[in-house]
Amino acid sequence: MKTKIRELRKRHKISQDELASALNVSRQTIISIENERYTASLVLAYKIAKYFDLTIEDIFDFSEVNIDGTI
Amino acid sequence: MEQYKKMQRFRILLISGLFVVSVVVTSASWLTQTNESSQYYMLGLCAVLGIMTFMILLEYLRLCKNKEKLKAKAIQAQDERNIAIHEKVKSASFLVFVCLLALMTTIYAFIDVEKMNLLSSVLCLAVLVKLTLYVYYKRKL
Repeated sequence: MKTKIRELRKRHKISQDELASALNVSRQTIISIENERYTASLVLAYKIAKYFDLTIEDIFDFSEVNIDGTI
Repeated sequence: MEQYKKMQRFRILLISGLFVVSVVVTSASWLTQTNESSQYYMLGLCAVLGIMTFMILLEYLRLCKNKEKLKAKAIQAQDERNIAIHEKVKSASFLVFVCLLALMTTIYAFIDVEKMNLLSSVLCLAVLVKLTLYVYYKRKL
């Protein structure tokens, strides 16, 4: 799933390590989400959104997700 | 973090118990010399278990003293991507295990019927446990 995490991180001048420790996840998880290899859980998506003071839809692109659940 | 610390303390307790048991069994099998091959087998097994548990215990105790490392370990243990990886590995390894067991059962059906019966019962038990847990979690979740 496409995300704006990298973009937001660079805008706020935050490293992957800093974001990871703020969210209590490993740096690898942040890397995987940024590279669209791993889709974050609802809880983690909420945490990321709250961290950047945005909504989940502002960060994650749901346009490619169909109503039947396929991506 | 606190939950992980509690779990770590429980692990230390469990490993300490295992260490004590392995030391007792190793000493007992060392002292009772019967010159049976099974005794040497038991001695070797318990000695290896004792050394392993001692090393794990040292590692855990060292980890408890280092707060930075403990936090890193706690994050690694609670990380959702890591948990997802472990889940995938578990299901894939179970599938491989069942397939290999089925293959071995088929091969032993032509060689040794007794071993084939043993293997097929292990296979049935593994599948039964999986099905039972599936039904349980299907109702629970």
